[in-house]
Amino acid sequence: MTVDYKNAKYYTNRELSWLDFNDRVLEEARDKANPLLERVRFLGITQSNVDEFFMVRVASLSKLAAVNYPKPDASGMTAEDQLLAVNAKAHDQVVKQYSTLNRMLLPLLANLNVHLKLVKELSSQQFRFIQKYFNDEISPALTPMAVDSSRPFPFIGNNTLNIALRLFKDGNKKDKRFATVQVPDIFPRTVRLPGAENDFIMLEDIIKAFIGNLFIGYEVKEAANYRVIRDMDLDVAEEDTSDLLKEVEQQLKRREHGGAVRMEVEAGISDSLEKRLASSIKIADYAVYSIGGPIDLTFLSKWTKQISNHDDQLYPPFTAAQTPGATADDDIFKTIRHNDVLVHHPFDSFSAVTELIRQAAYDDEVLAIKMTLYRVSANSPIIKYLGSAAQNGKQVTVLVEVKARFDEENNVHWAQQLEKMGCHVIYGLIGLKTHCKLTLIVRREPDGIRRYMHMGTGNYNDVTAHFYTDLGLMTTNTDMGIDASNIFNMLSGYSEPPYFHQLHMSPDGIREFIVSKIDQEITNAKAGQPAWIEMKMNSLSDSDMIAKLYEASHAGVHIKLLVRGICCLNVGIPEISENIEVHSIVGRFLEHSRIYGFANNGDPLIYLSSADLMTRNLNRRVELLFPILQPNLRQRVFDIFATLWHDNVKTRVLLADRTFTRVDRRGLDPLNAQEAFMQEASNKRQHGEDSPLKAGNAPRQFKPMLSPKNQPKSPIDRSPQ
Amino acid sequence: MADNYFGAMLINVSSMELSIVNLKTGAQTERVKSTVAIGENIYNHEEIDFKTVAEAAEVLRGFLQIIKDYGVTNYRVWGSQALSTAPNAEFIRDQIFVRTGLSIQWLSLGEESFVRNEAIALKFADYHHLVKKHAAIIGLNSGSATLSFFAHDNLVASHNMKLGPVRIKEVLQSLRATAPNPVDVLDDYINSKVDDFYRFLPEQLQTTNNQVILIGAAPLNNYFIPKKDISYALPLKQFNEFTREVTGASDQYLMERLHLTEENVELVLPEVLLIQKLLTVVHADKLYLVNLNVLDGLTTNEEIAAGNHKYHFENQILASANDLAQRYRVEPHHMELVRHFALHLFDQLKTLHRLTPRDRLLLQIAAIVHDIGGFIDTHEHYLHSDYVLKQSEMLGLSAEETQIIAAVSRYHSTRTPAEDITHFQQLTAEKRLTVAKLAAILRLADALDDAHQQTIQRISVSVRTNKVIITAFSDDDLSLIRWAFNFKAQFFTDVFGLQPVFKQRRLHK
Repeated sequence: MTVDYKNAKYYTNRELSWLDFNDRVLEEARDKANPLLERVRFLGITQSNVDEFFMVRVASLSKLAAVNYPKPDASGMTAEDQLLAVNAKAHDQVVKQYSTLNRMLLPLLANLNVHLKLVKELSSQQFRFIQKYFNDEISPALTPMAVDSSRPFPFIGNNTLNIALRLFKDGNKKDKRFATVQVPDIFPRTVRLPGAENDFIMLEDIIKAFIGNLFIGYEVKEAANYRVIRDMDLDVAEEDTSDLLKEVEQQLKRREHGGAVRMEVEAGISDSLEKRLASSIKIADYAVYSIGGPIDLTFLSKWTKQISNHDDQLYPPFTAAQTPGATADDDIFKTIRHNDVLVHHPFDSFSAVTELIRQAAYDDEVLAIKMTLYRVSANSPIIKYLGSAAQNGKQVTVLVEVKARFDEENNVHWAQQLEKMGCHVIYGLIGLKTHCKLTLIVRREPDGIRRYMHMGTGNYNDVTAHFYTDLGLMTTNTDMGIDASNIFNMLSGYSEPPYFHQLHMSPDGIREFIVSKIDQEITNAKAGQPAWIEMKMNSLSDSDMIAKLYEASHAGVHIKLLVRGICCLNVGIPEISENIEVHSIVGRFLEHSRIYGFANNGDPLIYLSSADLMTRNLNRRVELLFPILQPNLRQRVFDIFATLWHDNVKTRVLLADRTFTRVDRRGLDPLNAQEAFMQEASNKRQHGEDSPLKAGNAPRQFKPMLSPKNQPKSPIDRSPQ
Repeated sequence: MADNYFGAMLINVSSMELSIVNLKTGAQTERVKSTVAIGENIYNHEEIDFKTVAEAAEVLRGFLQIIKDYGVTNYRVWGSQALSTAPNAEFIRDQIFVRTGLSIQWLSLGEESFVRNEAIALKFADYHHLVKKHAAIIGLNSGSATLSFFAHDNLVASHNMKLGPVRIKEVLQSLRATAPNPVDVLDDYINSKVDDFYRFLPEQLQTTNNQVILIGAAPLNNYFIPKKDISYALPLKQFNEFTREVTGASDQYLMERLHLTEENVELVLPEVLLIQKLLTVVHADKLYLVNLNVLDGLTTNEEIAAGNHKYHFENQILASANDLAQRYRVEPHHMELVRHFALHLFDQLKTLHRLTPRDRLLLQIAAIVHDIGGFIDTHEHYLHSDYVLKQSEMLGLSAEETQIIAAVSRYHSTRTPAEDITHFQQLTAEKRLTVAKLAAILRLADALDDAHQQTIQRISVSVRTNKVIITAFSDDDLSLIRWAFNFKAQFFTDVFGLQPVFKQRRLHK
């Protein structure tokens, strides 16, 4: 009997699964074990998550629904079905978000004497303050727009907060007017009030209090906040794009005018005003959300920074461990020549990676640096070093993915910046996003040319590296070096090499490779040999891969999956997925590393990758999968996986009824994996500081700093071992 | 260090490739291919499309960037022989130069074949064992096939045929669409061309069984050679099965089965049928697929030139020249003696001519083939030698070197370059001087056996202030030789400014 692993009833819809993930983040805001201000920030994160989700995912659903796209997804739902189900679920989530805010977090903050006040609650001093603030600062920045027969309803920009107004001409109840005014985004959303340590008021509340001043001769009958989320799905028509950069820039401008996919209105808005907005903005009833509190909770994260004297309500600060041999005092090339280096961010400092680029930029023997950049931080030291490298006469080639969603403008800027500094910049590939994280350094050494590489699961972004967990490998492995060169050659437009030695590349390559590895496990399981798979990823949504995993489970392969976000796979289906377990960790740091491990009949293999098992990663992106070959490092990655797997504090386990639940900890010692890694890093750091080299009363000796060019070569041994 | 690295670029009819190798270790550091097809239509005598030149220049600039990435300063770019036959090849060469600063060096078929032989000898482990018996290297290019035959560790003959998969496809494109049975038409076409070619091969080769080393058969290589290997011993039975499968298959099926693009799939059938025919005529015993191409040959050749291999390949060039001389029934004893005298003179007169070891090789070849024209007519045979040689693609020689040998042969007897200067203009002034010097030496050597009787066994040469004394050891009457010598010495005097003086010394008084 053949089993149909693709049966729709075995699959969860991807968008609904995403909402479940956001719900797990929301749970963190409700978790009393977390520090209060961190809970407030988690709530803010749920908002930015859901906004982005609507701008991209729901937007594309509504486009499909608009043309009655008939093909159902893996779980058997049409676009229309999904759109309705997603909105229904999102409505429930909104209720939960605001009850979390209003019933849990704000009262707890009030206990700490932190208040978000209404106008009527202000002291007279505070009232005078907001009055002056409105007149002096806000009012000049306001642009009220009246709507009547000669003035059409204005365009309401994506993600802007607005106030809708119903006006009556003084003394004439028949002469009704409608107007709208945008809450300017140049002021803080929460305005600090004088006369108390932590009293705040929402910016829109100040505006509403005095908005009448702007409509002389009219009476403000009603003022209600609203916000529109629009389709922001960048869809560059690339077929005949000669200049990708220009196209992206134009598309960015056009994108502001995408159709509306969600409208939030203040609870208590009158029916007539709501109808008026809905028809002007052209939005369906199911996409209108009534909000019982401040619209757009993304302000919460900034607000926590404004609150003073409550740092005890934040996570205790954490300092990452330095990787031995990869600091500014070391010859990092020598370190990598001796041994491969594995870095686990944020527990291991990202400075090891920036240091590699820095040393490459100033090292006399380095000939070329090639690098892919997907998301770059604002003041990226990496960009600076790449520029220096080019100015030092190195050949620097950088692929900047200008199609990286929501970072397009930023990346266009950096790409041009790099070009000005003399780097060769590739602006991505036509039709594919380049998502792999790869650096290749070509260095001239006495015994010939040697390639140094860094490959990672996360972006070359020194800011997000503080709160995304990622793994990276630095190596000089010859075969991987040849492969890395070939990858850059392909990215430069040359033909695919006949084969890769060690690395695997999507489109196609990674899927083929993982399928072949799973097939091997299936074969081994059928032969009665130990067979298991351990994988960690952000999302699991590719239905072919899920079917393959079902097939493996059916064959008796034991599968452990650590999936942080979307998971369309289900566990515990008889005959289908009884051997699959799924855990999800949502914690202080965003789980971001991708690990793929296989039993391989007693000789376990482990791979890291930039790719999730999502269709877009496997089919429409350039991604990289690389092995960890050095036995001690391979063991370390397996250990990391094991620690994460045994986490019983932040882990939720997927049940057969498709819900996630926390681990039953009775009789177990609590294990918070991320905290365990932090502890480990602290131990390493302390150990490093206590090292006998630095201890004692050794006479002090200053080290003069010379220009990198003039530095003597002797203190650092740059010869091969 | 970085000087050990060499970058070789090759522009083919349908692709461009770069290879960077470490000349010391022979290891390839980088290999890049681009599928810009600059010469797609040249086999229909069409010109290279100017639009593709811009693309090609772009690719070459990328190659230069990669070369820069490795800090390589020693690099060169070659163009394939097929491309050089395009009517506008020189324009293209100049346009590429203007756009990239790179000056293309055209390869001859003889060079392509020769460097591939070098690569096989040095990179294909089974080679030495195979050439102990009878072996043939068959190299496929887009528009030609080269065949080199070996026996007992030596090259026996090397011949080129202007028939390759791309050429067959281009020529028969219209026919294939209209003929009721295209496979038969293709087969007939290939059979007739190969049979015509093969009857001119040395007779002993017509019946010898060979072990075949096949290179350049891209679809077969991709399909059969395991990843990470460069060769595969393909049983003939398996090849024949493959052929049967291919002849009946649709393009769609082949594309999927062999992982081919739409352009390449049309080459499979011509290629497989051509190979099948060639295997029949060379009486293949065994077939080895080897994945080495001209670019590998060019880098190998550079490794040899840098002195990193002790293996010498000049013997192959000389053997090929000998084979050519045999084809035109050159008298072997005279040839051998002239070769001997010419080299003796060359070596003794080094201070006079200051020519290179490569020129010595050219002199040696000229000594072997200079009388070829006698096959057409012994009267003014040197004129016939000239044009026959120009049309002969000798293994390992560039087009220019072939010109030099043809010219040296033309002037080995009575004429002088000064007399027909127009005929001589294709060569640079410097090369014309080389021709004159080599011709002067060869003419003297030829005169020393003017009677074709091998009356002089050996000579000695001594250089004086204003003359060169050549002493001939012989017991015979050398009147005829003395007369011829004095007559032919004038040209030597013109070129070197020294008077050759002939003296006889008797061995038995």
